Amino acid sequence: MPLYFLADMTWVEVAALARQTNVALVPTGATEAHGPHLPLSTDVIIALGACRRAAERLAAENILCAITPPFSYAVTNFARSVPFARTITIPAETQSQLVYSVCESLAAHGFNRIVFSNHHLEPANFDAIKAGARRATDAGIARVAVPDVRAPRWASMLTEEFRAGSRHAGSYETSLVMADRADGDDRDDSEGSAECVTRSVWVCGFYSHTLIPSYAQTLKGGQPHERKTDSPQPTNPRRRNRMNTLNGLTRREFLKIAGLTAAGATIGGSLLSACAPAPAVPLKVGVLLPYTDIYAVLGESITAGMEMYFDEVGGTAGGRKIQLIKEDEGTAVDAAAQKARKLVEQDEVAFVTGIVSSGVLAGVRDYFHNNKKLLICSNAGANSISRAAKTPYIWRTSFTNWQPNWPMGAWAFKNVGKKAIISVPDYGAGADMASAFKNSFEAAGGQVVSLQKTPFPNMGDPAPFITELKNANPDLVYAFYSGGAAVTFVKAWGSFGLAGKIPLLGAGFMTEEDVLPAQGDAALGAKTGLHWSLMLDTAENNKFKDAYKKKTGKDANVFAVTGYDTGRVIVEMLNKVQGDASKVDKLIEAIPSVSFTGPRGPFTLDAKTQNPKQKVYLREVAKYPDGLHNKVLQDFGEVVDPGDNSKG
Amino acid sequence: MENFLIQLLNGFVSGMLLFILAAGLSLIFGLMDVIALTHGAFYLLGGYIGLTMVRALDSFWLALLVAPLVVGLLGLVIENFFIRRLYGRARHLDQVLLTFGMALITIDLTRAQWGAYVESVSGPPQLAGQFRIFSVDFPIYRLALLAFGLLLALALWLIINRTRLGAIVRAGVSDAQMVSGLGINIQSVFAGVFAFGCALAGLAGVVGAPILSLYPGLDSEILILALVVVVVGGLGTLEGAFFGSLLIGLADTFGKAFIPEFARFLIFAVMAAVLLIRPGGLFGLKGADS
Amino acid sequence: MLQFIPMLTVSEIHTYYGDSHVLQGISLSVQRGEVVALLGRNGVGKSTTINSIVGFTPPREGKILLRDKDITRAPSHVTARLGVGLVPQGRRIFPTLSVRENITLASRHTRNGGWTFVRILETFPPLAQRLNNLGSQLSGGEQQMLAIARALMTNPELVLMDEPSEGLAPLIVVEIGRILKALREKGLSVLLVEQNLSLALGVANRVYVMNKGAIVFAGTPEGLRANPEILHRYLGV
Repeated sequence: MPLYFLADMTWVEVAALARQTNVALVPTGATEAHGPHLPLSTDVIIALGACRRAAERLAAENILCAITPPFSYAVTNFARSVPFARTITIPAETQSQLVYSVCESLAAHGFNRIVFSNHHLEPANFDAIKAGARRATDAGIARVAVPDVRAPRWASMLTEEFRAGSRHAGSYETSLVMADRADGDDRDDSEGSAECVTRSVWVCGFYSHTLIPSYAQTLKGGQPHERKTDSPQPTNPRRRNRMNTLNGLTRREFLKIAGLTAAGATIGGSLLSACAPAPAVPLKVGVLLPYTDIYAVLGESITAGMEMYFDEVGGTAGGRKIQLIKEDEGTAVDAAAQKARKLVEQDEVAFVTGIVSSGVLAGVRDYFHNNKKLLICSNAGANSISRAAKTPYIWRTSFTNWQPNWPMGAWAFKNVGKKAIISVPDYGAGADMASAFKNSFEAAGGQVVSLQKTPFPNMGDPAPFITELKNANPDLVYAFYSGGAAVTFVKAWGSFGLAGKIPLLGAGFMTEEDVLPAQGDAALGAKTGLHWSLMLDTAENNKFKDAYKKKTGKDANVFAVTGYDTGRVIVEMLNKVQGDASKVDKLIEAIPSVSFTGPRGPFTLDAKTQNPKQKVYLREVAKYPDGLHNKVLQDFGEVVDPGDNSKG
Repeated sequence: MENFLIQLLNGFVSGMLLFILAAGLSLIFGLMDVIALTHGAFYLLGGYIGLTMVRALDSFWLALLVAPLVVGLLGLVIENFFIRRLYGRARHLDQVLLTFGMALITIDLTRAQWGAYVESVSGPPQLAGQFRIFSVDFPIYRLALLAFGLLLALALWLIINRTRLGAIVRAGVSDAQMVSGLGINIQSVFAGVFAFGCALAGLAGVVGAPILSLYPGLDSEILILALVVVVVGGLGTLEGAFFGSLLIGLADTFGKAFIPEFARFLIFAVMAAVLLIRPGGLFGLKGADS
Repeated sequence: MLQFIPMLTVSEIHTYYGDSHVLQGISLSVQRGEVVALLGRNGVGKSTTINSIVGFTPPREGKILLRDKDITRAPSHVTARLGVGLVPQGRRIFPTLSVRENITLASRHTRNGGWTFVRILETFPPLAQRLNNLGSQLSGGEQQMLAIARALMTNPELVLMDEPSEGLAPLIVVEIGRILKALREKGLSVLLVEQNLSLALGVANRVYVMNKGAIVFAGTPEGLRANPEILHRYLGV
């Protein structure tokens, strides 16, 4: 809903606003010391926050308010008696005259129902403001209200601390400042302040149960059902009625505005922001995924899966709205690293998720490590990130390259043959995957006769490679390809007539749903290992894949699954820290306890490798009525990365 | 020995594929002195149009006809509205920026239309299956591709060297102004050649799709391959494009087969070697002069 | 006897290369069946005049009429098709085309009695021997014949010849002169740019002398011969 801060508007806009409403809210505070942890403008911040929240509430009731620039100076006699450093004071007469003059001007512009929301609570200041307001009212210039939050009617809704008179720079004021300055304020780093915040949050939490009902009562006043029946649509005739009668605001209604401005909005607002869902400030999450070039489908799928999960939980986590800031990972490491920096430094995201390419992951690893920023990696499987290059700041929701390949080695030896050729693209992930299979296959007694490395990312004309594989005549070929290379390789495999003649095994990415339709019958019979299959018949997976198909019109793939689970990890992590993502240590602490049964089966994060413990399935490409899919042949059980290179 | 011969055959097939995808670029550069960086994008566009045709009408042959036509028309439009403004400007940079921009736009549009999924086109059913050579079942489609490449090369050679149109094109290569001084509208010949070169890119997209698949990013791979072929062969000559393709195809194939570690760099090494020995490329006219 | 039917009328043309003002108001005319020589030292704008007429360097100001058609800013190929044949400076033979291709490249036939491939070979016997050679393999004289042959094959009404004798052996220059006379006898209009004074004066009906982008003399060959000052100042004789 729109709020109208006069200072931010042009005179044309103000004139237009004056035709719709005659209500103005004037925040007043002081420039005064507020302990070692709060800014001098504490009272101003609180007053502005009160006015803003009151205006929000009132806008929901179709009452528009202009919010004037705040009074930043006040009568602060304490400044004279106590050596409060950096406090600025003005005489009471000046304050009173200022209030009168402002009322006069506002009224001249059409705002003749004025509420002063004063949060510099010193009696002399309150009296000066009230005196100016009374003068304006008595002169018939405007109707001016100065609600006093110290009055028992409002104070009863505030904290014990407040009622006890200890109002200055305590947890009451601290929590209100925090509510408005949750982001971008470093002052909460000091120990004392942190304690204050914790306490005031607790206090607010406690009072929310007892106070919100009474607050609601205040709000509704004499029309208990009004909010339910009042449709927000602007064409609603009721709304027009309301607009028309605005200038004839009844005294009762005006007092309600005053009341809301005084305390109801303040405490309601602070309660809401501290404890209740949907506060004003969304939580920014950086998403670094490829949306162009050869990995675009992976980026699209992960994003779609992740957004699908966020949608399921209403787009919020830990009480805060999740705002995704997306950047294109592309394929170039340097460019991607630049984007990561941009997300962290310019967009000031709470943490980053994504990264498809192992190369990019390796390229940004030090940045996240050195800057103590959290990265939740949703694809790139480089083994080293769970091993030698492990850092507390990178957690993975996807896999290590080792995982899907390890169980395949022993199985292939036992069930397929003793002599294997491995064909992988010539880069880190290819080497990881080949090594996992080789170790396991040889440990079982098999022999890898040769390791074919093909140009990465794409092999160009695949014929020479396929010819070499054919020529070597092995018992089986084990391959890892993905994307375009997977299609090119498998198609050539088929066109050279090898499909069905030499068993083709591999990592599941090679025949995953994103490439299967293009591969066609050439892929039939290929057996692969992976932590998921579209045909996995579990309640969670069936629900997921139906929802995904409904949302995107496409069959889900393993990348979408990872995106979906990543969304879930993010949400549960944020729930655990109650939406406070300011402390990376707290986030990291929360992650390992996330555990659920998702589309791929039981999902837990291994604290040692910071990578999922997950089942790996043996799958075979088979024909279904709607095309080719990976039939689940066997469940290899839970596979956990060893955390070192002992098994490949 | 058998393996060597099969790889030799693979090399020739690969070379012909390269020729099909580089011929248009070579032709355009040769006559118009324009480096059409749209070539990779138009290859991909042709492939995708072919894909749509095969899906809709189930006819590879029709795709082979329609895709080059559409891409050629697009080339004609681009020449008419944009490239034409750049003739006579000495700086290649203008053309590079223009054609690169066109390529980016084309790629974004294909992405919007066909998505990012890897796609593949199946060859025509008449060419499915394998032909046994020694102990290898060699794909018939690849043999057909070899024949098609040779036929295309022959046809282009005949057009360029044995027809009046070809003579005009060759005359235009050496002195376009003089050709126009003789009453021939070289501008429209330029446009025609540009469109024809683009159409060849589209054609290559269709015949290459069953082998190289279709996906975002393929455009730049194709463009680089085509540029390498054209540079190795000698900028702007058909013979250069043909023998350059064969050389690169063979080098690439034998590299992949026998020294796979270097396969990725081998074609660039070959290019560097050729340029060291003959800076103008194998059949270079322009490069050798300057 | 010449009939005075204007073939080419150039009025007050100004041509620039970038900022340099090369032709500063050139006017000249060629009548049907007339051979007009344009003389002058190197760099006075003779070739630029030819290039302006044929559209390679269109003038910024002024007017060029072919018969009664305005060709001031017509594209070169249009001008050529309206009947202007070009024998350019340096000959500009297509080196990668065979002699046969060079001759036939731009051939256009007229209804009756125009130039044909056969007639060309009769007129230029040396070319007939070398039909399958590449343009680049010819001698200078042969190239010049080829350039003339190439232009004639378009069956022009007006031929612009830019220094046909340039760089040729004296014997060949004589041969070129013979050809020019033959063309004149066939009724062709020719605008001839030459440095070889005797060749030009031997075939021309009228003469213009240029200096620094302007015409400084217009008259008959006899008139020019009788004007030693012009000959001396502008032609270095």
